Amino acid sequence: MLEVAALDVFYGKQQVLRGLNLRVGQGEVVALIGPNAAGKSTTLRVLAGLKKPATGNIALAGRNIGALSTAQRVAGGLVLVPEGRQIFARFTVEDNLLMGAYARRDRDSSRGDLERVFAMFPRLRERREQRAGSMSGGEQQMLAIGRGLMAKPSLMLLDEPTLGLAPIIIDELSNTIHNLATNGITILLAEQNAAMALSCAHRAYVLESGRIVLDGEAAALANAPEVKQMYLGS
Amino acid sequence: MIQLIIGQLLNGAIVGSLYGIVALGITLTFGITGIVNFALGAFMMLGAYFTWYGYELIGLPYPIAVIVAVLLVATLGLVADLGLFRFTRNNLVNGLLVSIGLISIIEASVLLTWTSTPKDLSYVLPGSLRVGGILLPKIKLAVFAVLLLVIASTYLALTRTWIGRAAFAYAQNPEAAALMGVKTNRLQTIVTVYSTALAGLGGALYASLYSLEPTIGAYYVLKAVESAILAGIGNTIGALVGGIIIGISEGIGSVFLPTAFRDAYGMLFLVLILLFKPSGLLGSK
Repeated sequence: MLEVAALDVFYGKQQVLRGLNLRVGQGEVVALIGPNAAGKSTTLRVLAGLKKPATGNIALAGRNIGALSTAQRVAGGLVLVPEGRQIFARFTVEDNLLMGAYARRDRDSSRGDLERVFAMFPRLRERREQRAGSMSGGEQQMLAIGRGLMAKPSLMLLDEPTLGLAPIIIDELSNTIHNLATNGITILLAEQNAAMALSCAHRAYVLESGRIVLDGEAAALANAPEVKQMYLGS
Repeated sequence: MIQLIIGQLLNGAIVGSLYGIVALGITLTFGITGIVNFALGAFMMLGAYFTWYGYELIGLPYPIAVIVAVLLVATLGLVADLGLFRFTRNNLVNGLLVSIGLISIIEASVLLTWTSTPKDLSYVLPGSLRVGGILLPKIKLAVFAVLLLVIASTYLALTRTWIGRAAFAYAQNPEAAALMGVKTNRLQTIVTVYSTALAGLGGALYASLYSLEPTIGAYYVLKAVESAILAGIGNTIGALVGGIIIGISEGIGSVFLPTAFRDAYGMLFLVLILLFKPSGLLGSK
């Protein structure tokens, strides 16, 4: 589904990604874990087209998308749910969700898809007319994911969805990710919360200082001594 | 006395909605490109001169002259955006410098072409309506109605259409809007050009009421910025309300107080409102 090869990315003179290779198969949930400032967010931003890489290849479903704009990538089914939710605070929940369908050719008939999102997140239905900015962090995260779903993505990139959320909400989020995967959406999940990410994912990559240092089955990685010591606190 | 006050109310409302239509452009452009485009005043002045030229010298019917003038101003707005403002987006200071430079160029060109002698349009729509013993000139009512209609349709377009919602979304969170697939460069160009078209329309209507001079733009754009701040930057309907409040307070103020200080009466309102509500009359936090 997604093939990333030899990605080099700079912010000014500082190199933040060094020859990054990464693959996400159709229907997979893949986690990208690593410490703060390892380059996880940068990776997702480059994939979404918000940041231009210096060199490297990005292919989605066999097609090179490196030259496409963010809008074209969204229309092509690649959606980023950004770090910090980035919801439209002054819009209602419903208007936020409708904005999610903006890039779709059939956006005028997207109202029907609200129901599918509400079925997945009943809380959003209750808060439909509420200003999004007045909701709790967990609800805003659900909204950000729901808004991403409205684009009918085939690949969803989730950037630090657990950031600042209570443990009980994080459990809910894990269920959501399972749900999305069952619905046929491929997921690339960037997370500092390695325990949560590894429990959700099939496979995982460990990113440190812009380099992939480990990768493999999520279950195997969860038992790897380096990962246990560095990221799982045991 | 009643006739005088009613007359000043109508005048204030018309002048105020002229401030308002330029203010709407100021507010939209600022919300979407991060630039306070002072050159909108110059575009308004151009709209007025183009209308005068089309109506008076070519002999087009007034409505056609207005439409042609608005289209010409919008085209110049597009040229200014692609040639200048595109490079100053989200940079307040550079945008300001470019817009001030543009004012000089536009004013100097008009001065060169049409000199500083004031121009007047011969009566576009003569006659008055008599309502309860009070005379209301038809042209003023028509201009007022057109301005209200255009501002109301802009508001509807902003809230009901995809491009309008994209603009609102972009104003709240540019990056998130880009992630929804909003083509942000195009959106910024559309808004910049639409704002110049609004200013051009303001000028085209102005031409049917008052004398034209190359300096009117500077005067109107200052009032427009004042209106936008009064209402709260980013507020569509507020731009109109703010403009009308300033227009009416100038009109009524100069009935009872010295006319020489008319510019101060609107300002007084601005200061008072900002003292008690720093985000503007209709602004949110």
